[in-house]
Amino acid sequence: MSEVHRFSQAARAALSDTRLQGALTHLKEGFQVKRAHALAGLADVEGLREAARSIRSHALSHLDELLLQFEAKVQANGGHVHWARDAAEARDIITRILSERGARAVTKGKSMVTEEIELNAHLERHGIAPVETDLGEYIIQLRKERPSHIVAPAFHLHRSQVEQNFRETHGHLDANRPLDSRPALVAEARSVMRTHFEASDAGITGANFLVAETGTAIIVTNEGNGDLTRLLPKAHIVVTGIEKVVPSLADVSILLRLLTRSATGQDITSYVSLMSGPKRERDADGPEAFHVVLVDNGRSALLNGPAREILQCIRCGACLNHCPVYGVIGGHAYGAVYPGPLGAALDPGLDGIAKTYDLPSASSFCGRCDSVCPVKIPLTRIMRYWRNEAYAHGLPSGWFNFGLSWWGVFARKPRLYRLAAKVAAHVLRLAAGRSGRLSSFPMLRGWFAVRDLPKPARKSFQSQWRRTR
Amino acid sequence: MTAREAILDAVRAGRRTEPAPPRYALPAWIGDTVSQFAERARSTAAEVHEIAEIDDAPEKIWSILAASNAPRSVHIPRNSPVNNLPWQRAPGLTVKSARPWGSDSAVSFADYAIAETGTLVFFSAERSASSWHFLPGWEFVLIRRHLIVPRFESVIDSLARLDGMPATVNLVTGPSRTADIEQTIERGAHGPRELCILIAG
Repeated sequence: MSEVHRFSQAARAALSDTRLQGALTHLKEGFQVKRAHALAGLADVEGLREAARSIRSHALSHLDELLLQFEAKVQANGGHVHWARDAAEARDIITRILSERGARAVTKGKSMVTEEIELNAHLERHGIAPVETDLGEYIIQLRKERPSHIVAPAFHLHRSQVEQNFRETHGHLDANRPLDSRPALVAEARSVMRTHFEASDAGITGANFLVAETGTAIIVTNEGNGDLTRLLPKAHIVVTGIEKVVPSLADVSILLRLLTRSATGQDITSYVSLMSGPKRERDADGPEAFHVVLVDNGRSALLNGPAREILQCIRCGACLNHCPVYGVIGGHAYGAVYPGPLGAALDPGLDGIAKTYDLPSASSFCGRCDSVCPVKIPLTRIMRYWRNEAYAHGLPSGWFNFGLSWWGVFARKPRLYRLAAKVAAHVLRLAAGRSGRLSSFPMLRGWFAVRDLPKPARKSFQSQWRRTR
Repeated sequence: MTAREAILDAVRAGRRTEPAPPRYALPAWIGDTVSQFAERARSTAAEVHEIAEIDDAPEKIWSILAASNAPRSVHIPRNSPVNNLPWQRAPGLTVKSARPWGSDSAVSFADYAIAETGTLVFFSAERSASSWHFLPGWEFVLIRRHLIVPRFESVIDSLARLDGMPATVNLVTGPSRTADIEQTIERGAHGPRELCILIAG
């Protein structure tokens, strides 16, 4: 079965999933309203957006220098930097670091790049037990699902589903405990997670930013699990994409003002942590070993192409939260690690257009994503580029593209197009006969399967316009 | 070719000449940093009190714990200068050096505080245990008035004056929280459920 069918089937299933539809109603008050309110508190949103865009764009233009500077600084701080061309290389590096330390139990902070490289399944195959410690990630790990949202991974679930997973997994706890409220679920996760933290041999986190000037990895969180993941075990491994590096902490400060407001509508999150190497000799606590794994996995190729600006992304999720398509189908229907407009612009670069060509087409090009992006990524323009790429590769199918080519012939010649439209309208009027609408037509069964066409008017809009203006 | 060389080569192919962006000019800071800090911190569900001098902290902490009927004990890391406060002035309060857990209370000094966002700043050090900001159920943080700075930018300037970055710098704003279940905020996900800030001096 082709991917197009899979996507459209998944989207259709999502539309009739009443629990998911219930969860999706939280997008508006949970994300859109909070973001708007938080941005309203800033004096100069457009000035900050332009500053943020230029910081990210300039960093991408000098990525080689920044990565080398970052590497040298991490080493000077006593840490190690590893480079991974692709997902397999990244997994091997991480497994090697862990097995050299004899690590069996691993705690993890939230990281989309480790989702991207499918790290957990790989670790399990090597006898290492990873535990996601971010509440949302923990829930979807128990459910063996992918995150449905890059900021709120378990956003699609109802608390009763979480309760069921906790009861199944935490079998050592009293079966009669009350667990039908959110506070009870959060408290249980907190106490279960403490035992995992205590037993952990190594912690793995992602990074929101890397700072070249200081050799610092930064995480932006609300729960505090990322910090316990770094601080309690003997080793801390940061896994992140090569595009995350910026020159200085001053740059991060500008980006941070937009990141948290755009993501969750907070002026700043509960925790922002600057992690520069292992614990110093006399420090009271902290990890003894510090590793950063820099993952390319398609990013350097994107850097040298028309989709380059997607690498400016700071993963706030605002484009998902404001997308009318994401808003009705949720994240899983996309069938890729990164859903929504960000995913539609990024996934073809990571997974190849052959697997992902339907994602850039899952957009009405309304442009809301462009207008809410804090770093001004032209998301619709990049999606349009991927549509062209798909077409150039004969995707989704020869017949589809044959039709599209013919439509293109007419669309580019306005007079011919108007003539054809006139003929078509006439034919459709005849076919409709006396009834006001058309419910079938030869060769267009698919289109008519879910909709009717009103009988076309006698005169087209354009001809009426010409006469009466 | 190593992965490092291959990635750097590929990245160099995407190099562009692009002038450095001008440093974004934040508007001049106006207003009182202390009152703004307190206001912002309270907006994130932190509790904020002012005390006349730092030595008043033990009695204040005792009275806050007593008022909410919490256990009258606090955890303080072994090498922390918090140990030097006159704890004998709060005789009902037990001081412990064991690592806090669960719903224990802990006390620490912040290195700086940021008025713009109501944020506390902690540098890792021999005298300062970073993990203790995430382990207790209730954290009391002492901050001296003159260490409350307008913005994160001022903290960055102070970091630049140090002899190298601390291994860990924690910016803490309000209690730990999560909205991972049904987009509804719950406090105390992993870190403290309660954050109580005492401004001294």
